[in-house]
Amino acid sequence: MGYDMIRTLMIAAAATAGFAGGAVASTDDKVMSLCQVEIDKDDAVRFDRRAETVGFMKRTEGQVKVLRPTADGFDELEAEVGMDLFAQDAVVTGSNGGFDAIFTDNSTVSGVADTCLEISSYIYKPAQKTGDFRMRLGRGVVSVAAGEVAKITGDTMSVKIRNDTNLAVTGTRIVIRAK
Amino acid sequence: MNFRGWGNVALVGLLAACAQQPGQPNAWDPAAHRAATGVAIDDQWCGYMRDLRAHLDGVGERPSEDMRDAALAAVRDEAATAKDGDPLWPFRKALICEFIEGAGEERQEFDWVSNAEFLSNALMAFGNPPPADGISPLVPVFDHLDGAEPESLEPVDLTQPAYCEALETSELALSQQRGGVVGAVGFPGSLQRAPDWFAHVQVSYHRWAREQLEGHQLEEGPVDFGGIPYHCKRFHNALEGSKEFAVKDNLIFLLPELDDPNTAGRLEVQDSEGNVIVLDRVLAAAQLDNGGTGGEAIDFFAEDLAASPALAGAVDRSNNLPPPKVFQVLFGYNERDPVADDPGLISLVAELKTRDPAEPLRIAMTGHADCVGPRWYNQLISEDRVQNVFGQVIRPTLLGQGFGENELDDSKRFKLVGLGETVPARAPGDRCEASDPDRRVVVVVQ
Repeated sequence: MGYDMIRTLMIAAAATAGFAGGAVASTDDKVMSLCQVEIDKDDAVRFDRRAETVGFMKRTEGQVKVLRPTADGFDELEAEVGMDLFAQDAVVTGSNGGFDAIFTDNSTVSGVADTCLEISSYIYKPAQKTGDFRMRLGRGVVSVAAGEVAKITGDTMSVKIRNDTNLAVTGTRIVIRAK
Repeated sequence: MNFRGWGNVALVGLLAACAQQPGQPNAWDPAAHRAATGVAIDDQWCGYMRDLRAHLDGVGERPSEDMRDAALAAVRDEAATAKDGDPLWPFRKALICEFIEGAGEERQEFDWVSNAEFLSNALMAFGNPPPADGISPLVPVFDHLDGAEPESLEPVDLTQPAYCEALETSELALSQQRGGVVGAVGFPGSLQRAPDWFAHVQVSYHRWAREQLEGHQLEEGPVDFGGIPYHCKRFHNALEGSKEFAVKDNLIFLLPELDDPNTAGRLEVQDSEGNVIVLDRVLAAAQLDNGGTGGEAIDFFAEDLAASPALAGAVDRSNNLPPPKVFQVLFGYNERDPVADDPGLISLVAELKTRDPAEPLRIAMTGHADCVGPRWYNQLISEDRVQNVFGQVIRPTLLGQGFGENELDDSKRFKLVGLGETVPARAPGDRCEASDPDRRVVVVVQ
């Protein structure tokens, strides 16, 4: 191992379900994201952060869709090999679906059937050696091979699992299942 | 021979034993079962199962971890040498061991009229279409044929949640008791499948009992044995459930590093109650409840991966995905062109020659300069370096691989950036010197 392998899994306290923008339902403080992960309202879709490509679809099989937030909801796009991915996209697979995505920091994420994964935020600036990569797993199974962002010191990469589970990744290969 | 084939042989053996005259070995006798199934009396794995069962039944100490590890090594060796490397053999044999040891118990508790009746019922259940996964219901059928009428004789639509409600609590408890020993072995992935197996047997019994009452064989109906849904929560939530049997909703485990199959990273798990679990080896795993509570380290084996298509599928995808690779091409002082014998360049070309034009290849390149000379000059030379590596090496190599000119002109797929002297390879604070590592082009191939 050529880099720090410390990883921390943090489980947040359960929160109240809600309703908000770019997402599905809300109360005052909490919203449900596209993958039905409960999140803070402040973490809901912010369109000013969606300008740059953050990665692409390396492989897809079966039914795979990309849900891309818009000002008044979201577009449902058929995922294609080579397709660009943007922060705040959600990738959803059907019962026969699967995908592999590669991100600009060399992180790879593979998802199997019946999975819903969101790229909640993504920043990678190699020249400045800064980055921040957050995902949310609403359901299903994903394998994550962490890339450069996770090697940056600090809490820079995490996966939030439905039901208030946060997985902080600092550089490793892991498999996560959420039901 | 696969398990289904093995099960057939075993059942034929049992029936043959049953047909023997008085004085011959009794089919209820564990020794006879051992003979029929080919399990030695001193079988290490079955011995471990026997001790574990006794412990779960409140008799005796739990077998040690060392005993488990030794027995597991033995049964894995058996799988490798005699079962075509069947990754599920330890789990399957665990059930076989339960079947052997439980035969006498079943006879004593359930008061069957004859061996023939018992085995006939087993044959009936075994003869039903097996699940798509090919797992024989032979073993768990002995758990369920308890001599009592089932509460409901209606055909069961396994695709409906009400199926779970059709089962008696006692049936669930009995199934769970048998599943518990499998859970106690420490195969959580396999454990998830156990309820399906038991469910299959129970539905077989429902079908059989109704056929007995109605006096005819039921047509194939709404019961879909190949599509038994996972899973009836009551199997997991019954009061009789033990800790070993609890399978939680969220699971995380470590894969080996790509460059070393024996090494994994380190993961610290902290649940919402403040419990910290350290995972630091390949396949080390933790699971958590729905609400982020109850975090615990669990045993997780290669057998668990084999037993869970979703988990195994994710691992396969990850293993089969060519990992992104990073190459560094170095330059001489004030040089703009790469040299052909640069080790990084040779490795880069070798990698590109493995790439298929059908794949969505992406390459990101950054050119760099050392700190000697004006910044504007270093910016220009870094841009020249990156352009030259692309134009002189990458483009012709990929054209040779069958990539199209238009693809290679796609700036979204092939990003070339010169960064001048702004990102030195040196450690921050080092003196500015004309150093080789700074004069470079970094190529990321995805």
